[in-house]
Amino acid sequence: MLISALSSLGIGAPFLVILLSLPSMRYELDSDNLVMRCGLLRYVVPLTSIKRITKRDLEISLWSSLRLPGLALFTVPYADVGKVKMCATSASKDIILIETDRDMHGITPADEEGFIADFRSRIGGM
Amino acid sequence: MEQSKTLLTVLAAAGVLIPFPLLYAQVLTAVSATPDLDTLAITFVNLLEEGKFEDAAESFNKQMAEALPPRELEAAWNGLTGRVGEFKGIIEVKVTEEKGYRVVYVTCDFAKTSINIKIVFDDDGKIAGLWFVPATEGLHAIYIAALIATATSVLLWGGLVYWLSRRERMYLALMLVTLPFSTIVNLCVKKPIYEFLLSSLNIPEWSVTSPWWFLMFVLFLSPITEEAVKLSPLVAKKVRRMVGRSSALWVGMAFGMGFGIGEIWYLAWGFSMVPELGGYPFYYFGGFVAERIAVVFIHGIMTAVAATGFTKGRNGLLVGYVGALFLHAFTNMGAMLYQIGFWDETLASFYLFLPTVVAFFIFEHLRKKGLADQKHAETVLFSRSD
Repeated sequence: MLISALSSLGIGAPFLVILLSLPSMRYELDSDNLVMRCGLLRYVVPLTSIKRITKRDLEISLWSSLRLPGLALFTVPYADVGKVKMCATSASKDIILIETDRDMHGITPADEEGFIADFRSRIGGM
Repeated sequence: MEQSKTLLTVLAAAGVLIPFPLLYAQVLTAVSATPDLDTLAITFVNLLEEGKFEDAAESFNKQMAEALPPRELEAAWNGLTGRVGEFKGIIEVKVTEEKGYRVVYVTCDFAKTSINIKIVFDDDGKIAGLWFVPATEGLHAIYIAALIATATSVLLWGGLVYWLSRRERMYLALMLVTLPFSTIVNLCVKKPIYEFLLSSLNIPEWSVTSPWWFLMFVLFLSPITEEAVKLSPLVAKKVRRMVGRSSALWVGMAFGMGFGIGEIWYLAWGFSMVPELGGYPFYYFGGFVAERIAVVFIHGIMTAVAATGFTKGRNGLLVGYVGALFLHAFTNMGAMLYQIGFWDETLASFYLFLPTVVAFFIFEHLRKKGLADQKHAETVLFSRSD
């Protein structure tokens, strides 16, 4: 009984943590970095390393990591663009893809235009 | 455990060519009513049970005696009791008329299941036809299992193809083309070739003691014939035009999966004639359902490999076809090794996971290649060259 309860907790707890951390998902732009957060997940991308930003749909791979309806976190392998570090509320539709020298990040800001305008203004000052 | 072994034996036969055993002989002549047919039938069954095959064969009419001499009757009876266990007794005798013939069904209890011995009499009271059939009433449970396997495959794999191909209904429609191909290739190609080779080379049924080249022949007979027939729609110009670098995967998947679904029903039909599989509930065939669902996907991948090769011309098609052959043989190997007694049933059951995982890797690889050739709509919001 105790073992099964602990097993259930072991499996369920990570999902519970992720569920509780969802409201904390946010993207922060400061003078040097773009910071993506969701609970314990935190990606920091120096603005100077960003080469390209596009908006597109991604092709989901059968070998995905944490990808649930309305949620994509951590590194997710995609069939078309390869591995993307996701911190987004969508796994494949309308993803803002941020390409840097080393890797790619996927986000879904609520105010896309505001985000890009803010990003441009900061990059323009560099 | 014994039941699962029996089922596994049957499932093992699914992957490779095993002609279904001839359990009956039928030489019918026009008959009319003859009294005491039930008594004659009971006497005949009792003679079989007592091992008096010479006496039992005296009940045959001329044509039947030629078709099923005492030695073969003995082999048929021993084959039956070998599969369904010791004869326990007669449960019921039913006299009926079917298409103008007088037929007696002697329902017998065996150690593992019940069997209907169907005996057809001619107008002289001689036996003109004999079958050993499962004593099941209504729909054989294997057909319910086949329906479950089909529905799950269509939803799972058909849904996957539909979803990942950007909701192209055409690929689902293409699955219909190859639905009958499994039955056609099994009955019209594989079975005659296999039987011709057995009879012309005087080789008994295959086993671990069979010559290695014969085992290789059995292993590759299904891949060679089935992969060819799955690709046969490519002879149509309209179909060839559909196969492009980004669509070859989906066209191949559709043809292969259609074939796989047809194969579910061909096998179900074959299993429904195996007496010892009668009388079980549909969930008894859970292994059949799971195996078939996986095989439908693998069939799709095999054909997709060949179809992808086709986009590179004739040489590419040959390379793709050979690749599909080896993947097919690799998939069938577990069942074959079990069939010849080299592997136990557990190992053979788990083996199918391996080709399934390999098929998933190939699927993703082919999909990536197809996507690389496709242009994706994207909006550039920022570029360092801006």
